[in-house]
Amino acid sequence: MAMLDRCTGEISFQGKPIRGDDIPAYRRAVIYLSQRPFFTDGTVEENLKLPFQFKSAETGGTGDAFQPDRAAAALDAFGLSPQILEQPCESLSGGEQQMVALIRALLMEPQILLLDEPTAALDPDAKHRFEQRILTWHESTPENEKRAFLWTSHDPVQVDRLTQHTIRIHQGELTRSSGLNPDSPIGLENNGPEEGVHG
Amino acid sequence: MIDLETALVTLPNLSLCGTLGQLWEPRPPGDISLSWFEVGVAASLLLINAVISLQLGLGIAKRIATSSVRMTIQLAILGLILKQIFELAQPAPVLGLAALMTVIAGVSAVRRIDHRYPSIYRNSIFSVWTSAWITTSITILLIVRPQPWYSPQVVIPLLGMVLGNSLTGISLGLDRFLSELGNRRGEVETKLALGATRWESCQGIFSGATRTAMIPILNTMSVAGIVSIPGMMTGQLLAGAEPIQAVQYQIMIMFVIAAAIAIGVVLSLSLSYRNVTNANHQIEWDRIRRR
Repeated sequence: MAMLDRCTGEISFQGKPIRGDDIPAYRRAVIYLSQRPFFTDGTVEENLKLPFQFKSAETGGTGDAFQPDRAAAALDAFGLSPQILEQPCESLSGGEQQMVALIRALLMEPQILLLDEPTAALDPDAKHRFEQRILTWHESTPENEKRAFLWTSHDPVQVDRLTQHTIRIHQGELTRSSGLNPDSPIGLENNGPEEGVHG
Repeated sequence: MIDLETALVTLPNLSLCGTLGQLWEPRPPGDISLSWFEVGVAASLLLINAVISLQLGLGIAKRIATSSVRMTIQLAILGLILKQIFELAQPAPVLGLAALMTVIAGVSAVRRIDHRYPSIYRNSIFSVWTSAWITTSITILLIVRPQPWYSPQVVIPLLGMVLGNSLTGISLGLDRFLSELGNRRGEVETKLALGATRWESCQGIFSGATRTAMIPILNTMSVAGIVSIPGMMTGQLLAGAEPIQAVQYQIMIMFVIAAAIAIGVVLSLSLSYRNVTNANHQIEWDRIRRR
């Protein structure tokens, strides 16, 4: 759905088919967060700034430029000290890295988050904080905007806890889906082995 | 391509009439012809390699033998072909041999690469061809200006040197580009997911590969004349050229080679980049295969 892999069919976003050079801007609005976060060599701050160096950042919105105070506030919301901005990313724990990856995405002010088993490698406390942050982000949707997230997970309890609609994929087949509403978060629950969970 | 140059200088003068008696007599000044017997004396030095390999159990004695035989046969064939073409002195056979050398260079560049994508051979041959022929043409038509322009003793060794270096550069660059793309897949995909264009996601890898490909020629240029006397200059000095003239030729060819490498590398990397990405700002990971 982030159009990172070649696929057949077409994706329309906000009534407009997305293809070719629309795609980088579309990926800023619909951000895919992988199970394992990746960072370039460098400090946390450099990595948080990375998306603002791309050409697609020049759209005229508030998510266009890196704002240090917003970054600090976002770290604070996770209980992370602003001092980690100076640290190299590889020195962070797995949970901290996943949170930094989420902060990096949120600073870009996306409309949809595609979360690919984001808490699979996190300890219970980090998992809880990550879930809460996503829910807070979703609940604090400004009035003139729409926000949604899609969360894939092997844990049915987590999916029920977080999402309003669930799609179950069992051994590659769609076995149950509840009524889909484009405004609501969607949980994608995968019972079988690793197949086709990419949403 | 030192072998090519040396072969060029020595082969036309090789005579088959060497005897043991000749070996100890001083050569008349200006005579640099070698007999096959004298070449054989050099070949016997190979025994040192063989002894070392056997003593230390390196297990490369067989490879030493086969590469020596290969080198001898390849150069002997080259000598025979050059002899024919030099005697013919017609543009068509010269250009034909040049084209054949170019295609072989393009194919050899890919053979050393671990990762492939479907059109890599075509891209490599095109890049070698364009870079080597542009730079060699400039050298021949504007700098050396032999009479006639297709003089094989100028065109073939010059092109050979340019091709050999261009193919090394292209090979290093492509190998680096494709393996780094695979190694840094997570980073590339993360950048794409955060709104990078396909170029923004690969730019770092592209420039890293270009740098890698340029390192050998930069090293050669920085030690030229200090650590080693470059091949073409060696050949010219052996053939009795004035040192200053030999130096001028060597400086000229270094610049030409550096330009050929730069053009060839950037061209081959650009074509590869276009072949492994698409207009939807995706990387075509399944097109890149490990050999």
